[in-house]
Amino acid sequence: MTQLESDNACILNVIKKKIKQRTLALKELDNQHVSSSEQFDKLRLTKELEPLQIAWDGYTSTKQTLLETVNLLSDPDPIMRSLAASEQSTLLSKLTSDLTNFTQLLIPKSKTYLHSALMELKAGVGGDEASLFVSDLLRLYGRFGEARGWQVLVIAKEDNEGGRGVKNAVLEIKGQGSYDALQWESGVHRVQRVPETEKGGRVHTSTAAVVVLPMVEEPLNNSPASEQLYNPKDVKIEVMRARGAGGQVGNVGLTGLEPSVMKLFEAQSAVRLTHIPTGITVSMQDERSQHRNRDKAFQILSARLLHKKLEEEMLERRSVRRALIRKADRSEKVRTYNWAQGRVTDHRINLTVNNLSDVMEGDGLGHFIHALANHHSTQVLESLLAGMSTVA
Amino acid sequence: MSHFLSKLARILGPRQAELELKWLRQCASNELQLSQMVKRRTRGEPLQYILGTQPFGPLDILVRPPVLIPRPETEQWTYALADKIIHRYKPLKDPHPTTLTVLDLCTGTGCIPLLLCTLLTPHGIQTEAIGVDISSAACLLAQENIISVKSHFPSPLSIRILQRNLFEPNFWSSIRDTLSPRSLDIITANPPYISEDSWRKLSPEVKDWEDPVALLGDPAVENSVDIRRGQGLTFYQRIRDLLLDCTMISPCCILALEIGEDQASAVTSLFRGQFHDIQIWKDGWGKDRAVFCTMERN
Ligand SMILES: C[S@@+](CC[C@H](N)C(=O)[O-])C[C@H]1O[C@@H](n2cnc3c(N)ncnc32)[C@H](O)[C@@H]1O
Repeated sequence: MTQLESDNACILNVIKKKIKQRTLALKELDNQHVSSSEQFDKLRLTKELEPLQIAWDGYTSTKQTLLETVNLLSDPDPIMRSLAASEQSTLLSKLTSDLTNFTQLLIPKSKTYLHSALMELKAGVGGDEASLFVSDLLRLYGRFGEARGWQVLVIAKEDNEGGRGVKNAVLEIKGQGSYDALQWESGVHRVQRVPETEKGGRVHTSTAAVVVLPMVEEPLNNSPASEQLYNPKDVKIEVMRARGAGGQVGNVGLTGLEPSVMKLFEAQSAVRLTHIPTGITVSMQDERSQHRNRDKAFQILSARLLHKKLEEEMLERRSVRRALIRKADRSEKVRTYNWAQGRVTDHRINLTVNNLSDVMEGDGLGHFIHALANHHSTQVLESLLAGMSTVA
Repeated sequence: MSHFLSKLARILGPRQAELELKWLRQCASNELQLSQMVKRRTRGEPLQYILGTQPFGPLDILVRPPVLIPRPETEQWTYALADKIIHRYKPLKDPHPTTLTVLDLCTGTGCIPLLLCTLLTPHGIQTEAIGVDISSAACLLAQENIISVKSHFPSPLSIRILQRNLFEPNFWSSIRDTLSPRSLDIITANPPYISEDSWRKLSPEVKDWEDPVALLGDPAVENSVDIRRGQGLTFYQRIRDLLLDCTMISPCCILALEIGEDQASAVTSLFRGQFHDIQIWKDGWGKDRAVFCTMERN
């Protein structure tokens, strides 16, 4: 039991502090009319911490019983001793589950748990190899999403001209929780393998950049979410590319037309949005319909703005609390896929899975996502603790 | 596969070729069909005719030579017009939908009234529309589009297509039976507006495939009076005269006309007088593209 408690010392410390806060607040609220806003804050605090208090009370009473059974372990009666032993193991597992429960109670509920994910994949250094790697990743995430019952859509894709693979792509993974699961994928992913075209058998290193954004549903329907993200007046909508005289004349200018170069008019109208306050621009031309190009562009813009907003909120919290959370920088190398050694390593948590094909073709990515989420929770807890000690 | 791409890339450039091949592929049911489609495209046939449709707002409008392919600019101003109508007519508390009568002159595929109706219905505004066109190919296609839109958007869509010539002396009496007892609330038109000079210089993709009758703004008109020929303005003049002569117009009837890139001032000056709130609307490329105005009943 002492082992258990010392392993979870960090969590227990936070809880003890919170419980102390609550007791203090309760005492101060006693025998007083609740009137001032300060008192309302206290009231809110006690209410917020109530579930924690209940869990804590349960935990301490289990602990108490456990201590009592310890004495019985050395009882002269063998029956008593074996009873105590079995009781002890049940109590210990209860204590363990109480502790995990604490973690969940402490970590603030994710603000993005409802959001779907929008993933942008871009080939980095390494030419054709990088493009091939992007198409590998595209498949990997597609399968990962489908296995979880999410809807996977390739919103835009630009194939590697002349070569093979995909230069860049935008993937929409629709479903509750998909953003929370996939957000850890942001960053630079590296591949080390011998390209098929390489005669000398030399291992090449190439990269692909992944950006994961929280998606805002119903981009155009004045949903309150997107309304807060931007003022429609701040978004400049442009239809890209010159269009000659336009209208019935079509896309080709009237003058300077060389009959030998038969330039056909474009069958789609690409759309570019610029969010003036932030300078963020989004262009979309993958659909023939300008209406759909516009919708998609607005959806991506909303996702980028929400991402930015969340990042700013986090920075704010960080500066207040000296948080230790380190979110993946977009340029940071997060993971290496090494074909030669058949392994995948995540550099942020130093986790290596020695089964590359399980990651690429099976459900191996799940291990990483799970480990990264756990790692994040621990960091949040640590930051909570750090924040508390500055307050205390 | 990649030989299709290289064929297309030669005329379209790589990026465009890739996109178009994707759309052709989505539409073709087998490789043989795809190769025929690519061949048609490399011979300069508009992609829309090969695919058989053109997106127009949320609709997929059926297209077929020689009926004019709906343009993105037309789609844009139709949206703007719908906003204007909603702003003016959206029922406040009344749960009963308002019904507006729409007349679309030179309707072609019927795209304008079809989109208007689709955009207005969700706002409690129903439409009874009439589309008029001189071409039998256009009238037939418009009929097919009504059926196709009805099957995708099961809404109370009421559009009738009449084959009529705008320059007929008894134009109004020829549609009175269909219209009465109602009177017109909205009149739209994307009439032919290209001058003969400009038409000769058009890109082959337009000139060789789309009906000159749909494009040429100065048709040879019998007993025509005082027409500034050569600027593609004949239809606007005719539409103005028709409206001034019409007895079936509601108070504050909205008129919306698509115009060519340099025609705004000529067209607005034609309509000054009986028409007010004259507004020049710019398209997404910054060009004067439509004239909206309101008509006084006389
Ligand atoms: C530029 S197209 C517009 C088609 C459609 N409204 C659109 O926006 O895509 C002009 C149409 O006017 C029709 N038209 C030409 N002369 C006409 C006339 N004298 N009377 C009625 N319609 C005519 C043509 O057949 C053609 O369909």
